[in-house]
Amino acid sequence: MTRLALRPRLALRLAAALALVHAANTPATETAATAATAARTDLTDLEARLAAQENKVARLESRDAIENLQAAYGYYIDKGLWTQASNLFSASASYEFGQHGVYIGRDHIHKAIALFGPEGLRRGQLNNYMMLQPIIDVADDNRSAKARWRSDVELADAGNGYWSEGEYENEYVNERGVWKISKLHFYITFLADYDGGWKDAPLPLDGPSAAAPPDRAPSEVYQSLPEVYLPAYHYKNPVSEGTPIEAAPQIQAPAQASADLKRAVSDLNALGVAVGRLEDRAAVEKLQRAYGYYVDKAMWPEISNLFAQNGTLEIGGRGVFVGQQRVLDYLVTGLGPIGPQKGQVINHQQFQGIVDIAPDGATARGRWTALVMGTGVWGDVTYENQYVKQGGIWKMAKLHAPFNMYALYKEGWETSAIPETRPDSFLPPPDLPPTVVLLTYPSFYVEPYHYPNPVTGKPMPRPNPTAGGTAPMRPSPERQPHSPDE
Amino acid sequence: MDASAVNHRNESHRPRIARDPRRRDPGWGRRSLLPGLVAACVMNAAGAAPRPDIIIDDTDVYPESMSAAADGTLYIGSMKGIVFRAAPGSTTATAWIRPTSDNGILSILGVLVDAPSNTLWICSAPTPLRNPPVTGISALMAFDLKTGSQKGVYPFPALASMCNDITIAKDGTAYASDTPNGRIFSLSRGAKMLTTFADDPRLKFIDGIVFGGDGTLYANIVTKGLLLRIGMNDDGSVGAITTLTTSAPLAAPDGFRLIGGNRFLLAEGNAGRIDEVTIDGDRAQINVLKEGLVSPPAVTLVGSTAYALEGRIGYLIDPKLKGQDPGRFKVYAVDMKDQPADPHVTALTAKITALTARVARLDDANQIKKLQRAYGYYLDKGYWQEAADLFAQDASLEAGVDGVYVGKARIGEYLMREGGGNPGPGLPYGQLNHHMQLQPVVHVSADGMTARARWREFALLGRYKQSAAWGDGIYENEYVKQTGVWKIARLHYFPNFVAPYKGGWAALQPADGDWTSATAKAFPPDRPPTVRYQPFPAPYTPPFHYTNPVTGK
Repeated sequence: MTRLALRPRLALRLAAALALVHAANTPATETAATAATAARTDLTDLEARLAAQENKVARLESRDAIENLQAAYGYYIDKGLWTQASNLFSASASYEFGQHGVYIGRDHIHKAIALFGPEGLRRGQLNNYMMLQPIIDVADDNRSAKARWRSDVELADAGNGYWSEGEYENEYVNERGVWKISKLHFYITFLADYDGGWKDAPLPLDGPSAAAPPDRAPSEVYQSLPEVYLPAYHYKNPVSEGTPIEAAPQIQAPAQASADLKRAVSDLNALGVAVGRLEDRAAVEKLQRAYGYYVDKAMWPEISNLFAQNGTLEIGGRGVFVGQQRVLDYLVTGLGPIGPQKGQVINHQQFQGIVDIAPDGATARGRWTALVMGTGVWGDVTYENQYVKQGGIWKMAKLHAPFNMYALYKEGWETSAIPETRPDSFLPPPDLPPTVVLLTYPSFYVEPYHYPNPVTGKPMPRPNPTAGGTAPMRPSPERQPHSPDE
Repeated sequence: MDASAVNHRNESHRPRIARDPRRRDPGWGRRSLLPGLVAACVMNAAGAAPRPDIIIDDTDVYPESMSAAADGTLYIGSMKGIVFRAAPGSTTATAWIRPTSDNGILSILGVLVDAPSNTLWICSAPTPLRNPPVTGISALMAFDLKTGSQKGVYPFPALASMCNDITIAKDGTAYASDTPNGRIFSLSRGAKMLTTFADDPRLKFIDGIVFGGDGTLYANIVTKGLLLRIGMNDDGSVGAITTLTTSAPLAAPDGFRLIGGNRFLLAEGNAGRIDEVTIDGDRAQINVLKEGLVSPPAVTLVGSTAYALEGRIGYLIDPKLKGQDPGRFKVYAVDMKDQPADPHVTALTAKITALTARVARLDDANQIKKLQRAYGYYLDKGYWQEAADLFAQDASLEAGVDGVYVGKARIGEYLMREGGGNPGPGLPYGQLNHHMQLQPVVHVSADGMTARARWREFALLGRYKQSAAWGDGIYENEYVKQTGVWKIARLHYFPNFVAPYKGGWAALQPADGDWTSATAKAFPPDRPPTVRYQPFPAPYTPPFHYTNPVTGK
């Protein structure tokens, strides 16, 4: 009643007082340079703007909820908690693991999961399905979502150990505010005997179980290593076909607006900036993780498309390649044909990202670690990357990936240590020499952290001068600050 | 600082300005339904008469700073070197303390009332802007708030220092900014000399400084238009310096005073305005209170009135104005009392506030992920001290059945010993110590002050030509936000196995009995283990801090 009665009076007053000036789609710093268009509006306009932000925030919350959901699923699978795991699915969900076929509904899914073994695991059974490298995309209406994940899998049973690895392309549904798994599809890249490794001792995939037959045959028929298969990405290339992040328009209340209204407008502007930063972080994380999934399958043109026009790539000690075309040269000439190749594994798993968006929202930095599963090798790589936002799309500005350790699978890092690459290790030659020359494991090198200590704010100290040497390490005389730009 | 800033020691005196709609008297909503004229009458009947503007009774003053006592007395410092004083309700400020050869006052860039110690603090500094230039060594000075007699002089280091602004911590320690050198000096109660609290290139051209209601220190950089949060470690040393994201660009931020809690007053010299600033996490919302002022260097609060000081510095530095008469200098009274609220705007504001809090929780989750990932990167490279620094002062660390280590120093030593015993930062030749921090499940409390998270560690460990191993385990950790910074409050690592590379985890034999590490045997814990269990191949599930995300069970 009151609300309705108030409307006409409110509308009149707003017409007089609420000529909000829109400084369309530009950061506040650019408003002066932009021709501002005056437009009449009312509270409805502010409500609509708020609703748009609310939708974005809800979808960012959903992204975190789905990350927790899938991670929680993994932790249940690790420990043989099949009932807890199957309860994470929606009633009509589907579940497809390797070539086991498709199971529909929670009860059938429970049976399918229980193929791993008894509830609670046997003594000596290991069932580690790590949930890693998520790319989560929530639908505009916040009702559904899709995600790609990776599992590194450590298995043991009856005294035998195994490595396995694969990707998920999953779907999720938001049922009355609770996210559930509506489709789980795990594509196994390889399953291998631990001692022999995936290059020399790959194992074939099981077919459908006779004890717990699936509801449907496998939706996609493929074989694991040495055969190769590319599970389709649910997302487009995040750069060349990406959707720009829309900056929230900064609006201004006119001088004659009430203090409350001015504050509401100012708060709404601030909210828009904060939401934008969260979207920026999500976009940079997606970019880096998409890079890893493309490397896995030798999707070289997709990778060069992730770079800004003048972006640079520097991997190991090979030197710097400048621009999209040279990035592509490096990949195609140096690393082999486009697309997954029989018998080849080049898993570049993108883990543990620390992404910091610059205050102006135009650039970002990220530290990541890559655990590399190569054809017969392990690799441990650090990234300190830079990103740039152009036209609302985050792109790779500088990919810098010094190696930490490479070792042959057969021997492991106890006796095997593959030295850092050099500019002439293989073709093509780089555009610029390496920005840093270092010795990898068993020597010591630490790539400078782009961020100060998150608690003390102190810059990273230099490593102890005796670190990595063959003499005993002594206490460092003084901790010298270490600028990340050195 | 002014009365409002000192008042955080006595919450009952905190000025109450109901800005937050959740705290607003519900009566406002109904009152606003009255026709505007009636509403205005209600306002006038209910409120006291607005406070008057104040003229500074002198010429060539160029005031730079201002502070207020709890009774409303205003103190104004000036480039002329005089402290002016205006009695409560007065329309005139008159000279009170003058520069003499005895007191050694140069130009005054900062004044601050510190009622608990009965002190008026001033920042005395040389200036080339006066004719003839004022030379000498900058100093923080203390005067008796009642008598105006000088109580102490605390010189800044001689090299081109400039004491500019002052704030007082809850323990009574005074902090003063040194603008050209990017330093903050501190003077604890009863101390005879200043101590360097902060010296950082990011603080170059620091101007206003102020403690928030929760004891967090904030500052501004006048040349860059930045607001910074300056963290303080538990031992009193300077912590993380964080640039806040402001909702609007700032032009020469200067005087900075606390209203209460996380709300502040800010003067922007070049923008000619004073603002109300609300800081939430790493964001600062700027709401303009008054525009069109001529170079305001200071603002201070009396009751619900923000006093804005005009500096008119342009008459000293702008070639077009130099030599012209700046006129009488003035202090403007800006009424901050709420206007009758429009219920629709109130509803909108409530929604914006709620959504802003949700955004802050998302930020919190990101900060916690960064914290734990940074922990892993430090362990990777033998940065034990830096890893220990990620913990709160009274935090604990527990791993396996090694027991509980309490406090940063003990945690740091445990990490160092468990990581091979080398002091770092760095690792010796041949060591691999890669501890990947993966698969977070993070839950932040509704108030954003605490959080829990489950993580997986996947480790590659070894010594070249000696050993190589895989590590696997689960963390269930707790985190706490202190003065805006997330720290690890409790780290609990449940190792599942450390398996030799040769043969892998399938080759592991049962641990059988006590599997306390050699580290814990040589360096015993502060408390026994909270949980005893056997690692792989025995089955064990570390407890979950969360219920099933779908069933809630």
